[in-house]
Amino acid sequence: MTSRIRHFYPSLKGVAVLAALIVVIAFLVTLTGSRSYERIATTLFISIIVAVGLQIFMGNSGVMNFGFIAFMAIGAYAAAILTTPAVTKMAAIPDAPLGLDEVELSFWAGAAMALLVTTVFGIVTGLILARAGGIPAAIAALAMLVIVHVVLLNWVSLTGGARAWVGVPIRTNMTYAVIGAIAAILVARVFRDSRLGLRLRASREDPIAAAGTGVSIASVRLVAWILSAFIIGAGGVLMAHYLGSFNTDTFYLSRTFLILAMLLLGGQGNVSGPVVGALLVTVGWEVMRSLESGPTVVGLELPELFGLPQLFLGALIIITMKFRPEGLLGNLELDEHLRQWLRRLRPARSDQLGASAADAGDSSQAHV
Amino acid sequence: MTEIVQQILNALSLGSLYALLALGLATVFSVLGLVNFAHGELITITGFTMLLMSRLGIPEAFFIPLGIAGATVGAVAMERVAFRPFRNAPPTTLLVTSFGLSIVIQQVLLLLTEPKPLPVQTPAVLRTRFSIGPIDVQMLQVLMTGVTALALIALVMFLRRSLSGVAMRAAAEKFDILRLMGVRADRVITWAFAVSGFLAGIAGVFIVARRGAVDPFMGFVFVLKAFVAAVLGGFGSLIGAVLGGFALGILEVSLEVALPSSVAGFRDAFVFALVGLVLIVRPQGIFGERERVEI
Repeated sequence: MTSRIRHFYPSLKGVAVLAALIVVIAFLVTLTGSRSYERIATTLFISIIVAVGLQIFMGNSGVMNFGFIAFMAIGAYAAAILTTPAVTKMAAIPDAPLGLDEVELSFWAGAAMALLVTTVFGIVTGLILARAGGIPAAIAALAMLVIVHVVLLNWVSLTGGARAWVGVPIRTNMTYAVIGAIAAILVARVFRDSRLGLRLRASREDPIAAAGTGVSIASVRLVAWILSAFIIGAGGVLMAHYLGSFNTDTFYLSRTFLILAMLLLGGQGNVSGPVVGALLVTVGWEVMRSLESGPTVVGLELPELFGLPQLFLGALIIITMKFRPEGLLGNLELDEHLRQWLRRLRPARSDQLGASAADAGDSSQAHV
Repeated sequence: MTEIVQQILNALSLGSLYALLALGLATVFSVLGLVNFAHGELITITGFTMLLMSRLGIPEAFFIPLGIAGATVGAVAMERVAFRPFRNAPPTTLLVTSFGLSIVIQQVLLLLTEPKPLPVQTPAVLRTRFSIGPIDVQMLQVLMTGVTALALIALVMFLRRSLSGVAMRAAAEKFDILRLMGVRADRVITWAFAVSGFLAGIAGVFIVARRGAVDPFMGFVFVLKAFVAAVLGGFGSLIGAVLGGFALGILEVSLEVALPSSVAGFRDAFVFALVGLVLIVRPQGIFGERERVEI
């Protein structure tokens, strides 16, 4: 048993590196005391949760999923419907089914129920979709997103339809988002390095060989799909309690592009990829957003460029695919990259270390 | 009776639209293995070309050919600029690239124009109606069905009789062998994109005529429907794409008739649920042959 836990020590170190990165960012943002920086950072951390959740399925299985935002939408709407004050709901959705207009749960109870709903949805869709692969899988997942969107949009008695949902109690703050992001990273990293994760990654590299060694591709994909749905749903719950009001378009194509760009830029082969990608894309996105409104830079009045952030995302996706199809981090985690850099910085010493480690035998595994 | 004829015409004209789009997707896919997400933007390009023509004061009669030409040139340009650097990349990389390209085209059009739908004049003949006995017929629907039929015949002739067409069919079978025969890969791929752009241009003209306005995001819904049609027919099969397109048109119109108005908004949910189901039960599509199934 202890050896099994020891197997995850390197994973935990990797989680610590990413957690430190997140905490440092949150700390710096707190130091500035800027409300708008705090808003950007909180959104960033929630995006990290979603991107990492997507990585669990898409990154490890190598199967495209264009429909993942559906999980976020369901998590957000479920949390919103369960926790919004009954007074607000009786005005907005007086004819809600199951008397949901009178239900008013606390944040935690609502979150737990919302996660249950998302997970059940994940199990149902996973049983249908997760075993598919390649192009059909990508299109089927997109079809799932469209179905969820159409249902949310047209089930007016439950969701209020196209009108914005208002009045979700604001409970998410930067601390919640930080904790959520670190928890998501922990789950994703442990999954990636676990036996299941290894089997799933093996099926990504060579499905036939993996199946030949006894990996049940359908079942490992299913587990990853459900886990992915759970984490992305959690991101949706936090987002609902952060925004307070949103509509069906909040969780549709634009957010799909955004999260996808984060994951692809950072690299989907590892858990650090979506974290680094989310950070870079958020910075770029905010810069583009400030340019979009036509600001005056060094006395030069720039024109208004409506749609610039989205253009940036699209271009970023293409450029990444061209020059680094595996993403910036490739197949190595951030901690593994750091270790390599450190070794390169001190070539003489690391040679010695490497030699002695090889002599020692067991500790050389840490370098693999 | 009148009602039935009317609905049949609706289904045929809508099916034609989907067939044209799915066929374009399938043409490119069969040659290159690329699922082109940016296919919908060819419709948008057609619309904006027509808008530009009307702003430039070019006579109405030229709108349609120039609109189709715009989509054809657009498709070839897409391949040159965006997809050629990705030759031999894995299918999912190509898919993601086309996804990115689709966003880029939408946003560039948004930057150049306005986010609200812009009205486009289409030639008056597309807006006329006439009656056969008791049945009131829209000219547009007749033209959609008729022109699609002509386009399909022309495509079959092209694929059967012309050297480029034969090369395209050969490329769909075994690209490497074709290249060993001395056929230039670039030429075949350019032809495939030109054909897909031409078909999307025809569909685009009809879509613009139906809507009477263009906006940068108009292509998305249609490319989704074209995916559905292509999936129903078995991705990459040309005949399948046409059959899938008509099947989808018939399905949508039947649902519209059959569904009570309280759930009419959910129509697309039913349509996409069906695709999901088809993909699960028959990953090769309803009309596709059981060949290789990706895992």
